[in-house]
Amino acid sequence: MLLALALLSVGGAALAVEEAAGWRDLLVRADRVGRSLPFTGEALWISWVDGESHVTVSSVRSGSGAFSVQPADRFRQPIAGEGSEVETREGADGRSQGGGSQGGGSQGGGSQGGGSQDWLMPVPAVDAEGFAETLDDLAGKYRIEIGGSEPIMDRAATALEIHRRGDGSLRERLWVDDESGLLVRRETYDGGTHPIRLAAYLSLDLNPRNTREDREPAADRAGRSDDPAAPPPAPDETVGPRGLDALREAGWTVPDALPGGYEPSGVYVLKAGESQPLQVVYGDGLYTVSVFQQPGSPDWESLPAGAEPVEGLGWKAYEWPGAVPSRLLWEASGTTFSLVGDAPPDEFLAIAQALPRPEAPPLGSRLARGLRRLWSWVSPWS
Amino acid sequence: MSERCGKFAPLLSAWADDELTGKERGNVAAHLRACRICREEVEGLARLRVLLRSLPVRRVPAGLLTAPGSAAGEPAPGDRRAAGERHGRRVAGRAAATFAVLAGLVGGAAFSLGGPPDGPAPAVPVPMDLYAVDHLVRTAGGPVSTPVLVGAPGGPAGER
Repeated sequence: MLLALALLSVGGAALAVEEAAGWRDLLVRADRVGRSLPFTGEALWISWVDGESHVTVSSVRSGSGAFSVQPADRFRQPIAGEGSEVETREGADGRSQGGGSQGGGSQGGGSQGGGSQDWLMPVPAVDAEGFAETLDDLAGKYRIEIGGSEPIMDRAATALEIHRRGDGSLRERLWVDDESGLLVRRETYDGGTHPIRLAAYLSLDLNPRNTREDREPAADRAGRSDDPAAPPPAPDETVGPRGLDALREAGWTVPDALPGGYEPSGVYVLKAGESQPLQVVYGDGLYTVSVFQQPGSPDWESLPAGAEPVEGLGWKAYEWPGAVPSRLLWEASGTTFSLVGDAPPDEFLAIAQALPRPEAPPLGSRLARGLRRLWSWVSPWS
Repeated sequence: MSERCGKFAPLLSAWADDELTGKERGNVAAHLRACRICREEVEGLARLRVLLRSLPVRRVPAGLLTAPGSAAGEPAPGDRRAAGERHGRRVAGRAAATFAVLAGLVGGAAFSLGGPPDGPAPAVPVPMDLYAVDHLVRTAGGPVSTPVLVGAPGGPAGER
């Protein structure tokens, strides 16, 4: 009996080590395959906000270090509330509905156009060391379990469950395609049993032809311009540690950490028209958020379609319900802050509240400044 | 009053007020014992005094006291003092009101002029959709490494 218990105990420890190695191997392989494997397919995003579902369907292509997304030819919609069943619906005029309709107009460095715009994103080169550190951060805040094999798109896939160590709450379920190693489905949970986001491939072709030719997009780098006469945008600049101190001294907001254990992983100076926004990327090992800062107040009239006032934040801010990744916009002290990321809603709002917020100047200092101005007008000595 | 006793009538009021002394007091007392009419007169005076004492004491309004004097062109010294105090209060009240209005105007102007030192910040377009793309590009190396599973760069899109 004792021998059996000892064997079980040793076996359990060995299984835990093997499982730990298992999820790491799965994610390392998915990272490598996601960057290098050419494929085409159709992707579905659903997010649930206050009981309403927001659906987007797009065609995707990947290969040769780049990734493109364009609105799908058809529109799918969940039949009701939560659930993954979809139905196909053509637009009344035969054109597609939803799926990548961006609204808005010319902003920043280029035109985004309407629903026909496609997007090309360069995929960064493999950074094995950096990815290992990210997995260490992931294991520090979350507990990852292999959930077994399940069919996704009639293909065998291995499920992973990610729980937050602090409260044991379920945060993510991932599915890795057994044959290709590609991540094929992701569900984000509210900490309980309710999903708040779903991203999945509806179809995949792992042996696409004419990938390079088909991938010639209307937009250049990151879709910043579709005007062939427009000069190529200057590359964004990465800011090093010394540059961080200089940015802080110049008045930019670059916190060392954000609530929820989010630590900075990169700082970039962007080029967007005449503006030069600053992007600071934070991550907790699983989720990432970017804090964008622009000098000036937002041109509220030019915001992309779908903006709605945020309730419960305590100051004037706008969000785009259902957008994936989540987006939040506000102004503080003459600077426009945009928060973009896939952190869960509670952590997302906590991060926003940790950043500068609009504050009315103290009444005394405002009156004193006004009196000085008045005096300067009437005084013969000034 | 026709039945009044003429000899003692002028003394009855003083008797009722207990102001008689000596011989007069003795003569009136002797007369009252014999004269019913004078006795009833004295009792009436006593009742009238009780009634007058039971009435509440009321202060006369200041204006009522000065009006007859003013009309006569000769206000009493106390009335002149009261009028001076009222005039002082009126002047002080007007000064306070003027100061309050001026303070309000200056304060309002100061509050209005005391806004941000450099005026309102210039309005800038916010390329939120491009920010989403930038975010996806920068974070493509995370554990959820396939960009399409991190987000849809096309923005909120979709239908509800």
